[in-house]
Amino acid sequence: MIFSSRLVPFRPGHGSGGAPGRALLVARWRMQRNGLRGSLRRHRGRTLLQTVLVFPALLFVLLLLYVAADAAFSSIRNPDDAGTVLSILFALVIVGEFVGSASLALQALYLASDLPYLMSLPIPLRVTYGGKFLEAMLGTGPVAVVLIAALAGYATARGGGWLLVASAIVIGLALLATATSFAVVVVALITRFIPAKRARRFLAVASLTLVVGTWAAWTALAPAQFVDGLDAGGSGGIPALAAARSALGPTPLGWAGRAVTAAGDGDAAALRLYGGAFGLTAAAAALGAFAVFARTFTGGYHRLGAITTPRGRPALGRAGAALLRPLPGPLAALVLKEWLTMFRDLRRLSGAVWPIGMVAIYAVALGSEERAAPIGSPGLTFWLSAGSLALIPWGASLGISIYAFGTERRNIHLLRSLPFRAPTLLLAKILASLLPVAAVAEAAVVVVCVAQGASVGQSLGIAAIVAWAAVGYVTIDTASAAVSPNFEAEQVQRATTFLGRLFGFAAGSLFTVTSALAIGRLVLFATGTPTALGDLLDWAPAGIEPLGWPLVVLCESAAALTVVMVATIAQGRLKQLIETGE
Amino acid sequence: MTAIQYVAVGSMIEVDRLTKRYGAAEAVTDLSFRVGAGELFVFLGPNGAGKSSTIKMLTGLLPPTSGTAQIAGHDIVRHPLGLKRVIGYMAEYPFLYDKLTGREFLAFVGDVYGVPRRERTKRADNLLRLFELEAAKNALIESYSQGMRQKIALSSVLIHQPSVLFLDEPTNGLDPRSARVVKDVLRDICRRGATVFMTTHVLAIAEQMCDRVGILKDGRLAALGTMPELRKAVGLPTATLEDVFLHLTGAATYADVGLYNRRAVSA
Repeated sequence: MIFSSRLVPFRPGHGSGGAPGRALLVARWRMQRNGLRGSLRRHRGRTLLQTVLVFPALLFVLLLLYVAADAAFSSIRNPDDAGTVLSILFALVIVGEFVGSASLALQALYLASDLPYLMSLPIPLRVTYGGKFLEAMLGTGPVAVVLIAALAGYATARGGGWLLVASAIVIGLALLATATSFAVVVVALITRFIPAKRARRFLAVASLTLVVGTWAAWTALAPAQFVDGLDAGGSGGIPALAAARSALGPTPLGWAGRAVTAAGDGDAAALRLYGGAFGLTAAAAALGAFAVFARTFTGGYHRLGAITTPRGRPALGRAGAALLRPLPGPLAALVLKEWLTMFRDLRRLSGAVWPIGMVAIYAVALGSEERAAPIGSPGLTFWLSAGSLALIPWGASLGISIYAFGTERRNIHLLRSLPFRAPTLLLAKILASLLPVAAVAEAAVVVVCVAQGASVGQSLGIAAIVAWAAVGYVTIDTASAAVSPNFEAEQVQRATTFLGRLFGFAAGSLFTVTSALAIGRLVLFATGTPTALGDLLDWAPAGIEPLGWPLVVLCESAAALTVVMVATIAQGRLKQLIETGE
Repeated sequence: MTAIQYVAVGSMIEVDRLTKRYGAAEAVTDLSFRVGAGELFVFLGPNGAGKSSTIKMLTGLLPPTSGTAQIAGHDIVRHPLGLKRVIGYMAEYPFLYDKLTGREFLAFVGDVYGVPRRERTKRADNLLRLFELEAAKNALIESYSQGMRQKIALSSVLIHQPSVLFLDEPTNGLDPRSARVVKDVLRDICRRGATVFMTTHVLAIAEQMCDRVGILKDGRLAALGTMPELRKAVGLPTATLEDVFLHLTGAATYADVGLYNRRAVSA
């Protein structure tokens, strides 16, 4: 034994258990600090730019929402109406928080990479749960931002004192905790009774159903004149809010709304009553969620861990392989791998819940809508209503393509080690996203065309426009994912850095404007110029009509050039990534 | 609690008819054995034999389908938290927080186990010196090599000086010098009264280190005993542990390999 003397003294025995909660908090803080230091050291310019861009952008959005909320609440004179509007807002926040935190809860409570390790340490389940619960609750930043801005707007409109501010903060946090508690319960029950493979899809479907259900409830409870009606309310109340008031009033959301308005009015008794009732509900939800989690965790966790590979060769694999046969071998292999992993990866699917939910709502709404002939051109009616279907690929692509590279995480090094060149990798990722995005968008086209009784020409035209949009948006978003991926992100929403998403948004906006101008002009060639535009489009200095075919060619070229340039930048970035790993 | 007290208690690991089923598949069947205080017990078996399931059950990470087990007097089902306080467990692919430095990681584990601050610092320094990680103690774990990661993981399971150590392939990725350090350390802590329960595929290491060996096949205990006892059981008086293992688990022979190669060539 040449080394053992250095270990003395070693006295085997019991650990006291210490303060695991504190130890975990300290470790988390150190990890954040070390991560930031490393990031500053390696990418000082990028980190500073991100800081310079992110904080003002966030502040701007917050300010915008705050001003809007202040204006809206200032125009409401009846306190009951204000309470109802707050309740509606809380309902939307609950839904948003649920959808966001459900996938985060599954990730944090069942799929986190440190979970098996934490379970092997003498850390009580409630401590691990508490940390992971907070992670899921605070992970849905945008929802919290909307809530903070709205409550601050209300506080300003009511000339808020300290009681209102304190109550708003407490109730806001309780709302987020309640929604997360429901998310935990749903996740715990799903993982308890449904094998992981199906649980992942089931959660996405549950979230989607909730989004569509909320939209349906909104349509039923809040008529179209809701916003216009705010000013008309007066002291007698806003008629448009009556249905929402009677539906939400007796619920905990109604209590939360009334508690905040009571704090605004300085009505301590009502605040105690409604705030207490809502606080008790939130506490019951939190305790209930922990109880359900504690009872189901072990089974659910092992169920998730035990079933990770599908048995046999799945239908998707067979169909995909057949579809991809004409492509070169390596490209087909990459695309097939993307499809197989994309549809089995909850993290990828969870990112697509909101966009696809919006697509479903939008398609149904558009399909059932009847519009009047606009601005003196009856032929434009269809194009104006269905034309915005071209934005659907953007929404779907933002849910799928924008995370194409960051979600590879450490597997990116596997891809680096394989004999692929950057263009092949980029093309494979684009093709892999293009099919599901185009399928979703074209399905919406079919729904709208059938519902509106479109002609064959109109249907083919809008289908072609949507296909063009799908190719453009998917290429731009996939390329943006390559420009600034975050391979360390556990949450899919962070798999591309803010800078990457900003880059994608800017390029997407440019593509949208230029494509819209070109396609819009083409449509006007077919339908004729509306009377409202007069002779504007016929303007012809020196015998050339710049707003005719030159506009189409120029804008379409600009749109195509945007896509090509973004793809070229991404290709260069990928080449560097493959060569250097950074 | 000292080593002497544990030696007086006797068995540190008592397993009685432990069974684990995943649906219809039985991973571990009717497993029963005891491991004494200060003993280094090596648990062997082919891939998929049930070794990891057994270790996970014994460390309170996986509930057994039936049967019982006690580790240092703690029932694995009824007292999982008490159990975890007296054991150290290193998984085959140990988890480490990449954004912590080696020193910070040891501090974290020490705090979780309630090791007093001064004592924790002293032990961490000792371990870092022992495993030759001193120069890298303030570097992020993400920059560590495979061997360094293995060594910091091993340090983390030693920092609270557990009574029972469960180690899944502890010499994975270690260079010969580091592997030797690990062997010496494990023998040393056994001498001081701790119990080591480890799995390894490096049978030469197992043979050098072990007091007793358990060999698992298809979830059942195929053999259990000291090296002389195993040799006697298989009727091979001069056999190495590798011979015993292959004899009991029925590995592919040279003839099988030759047949495969001939088929592959003719195809």
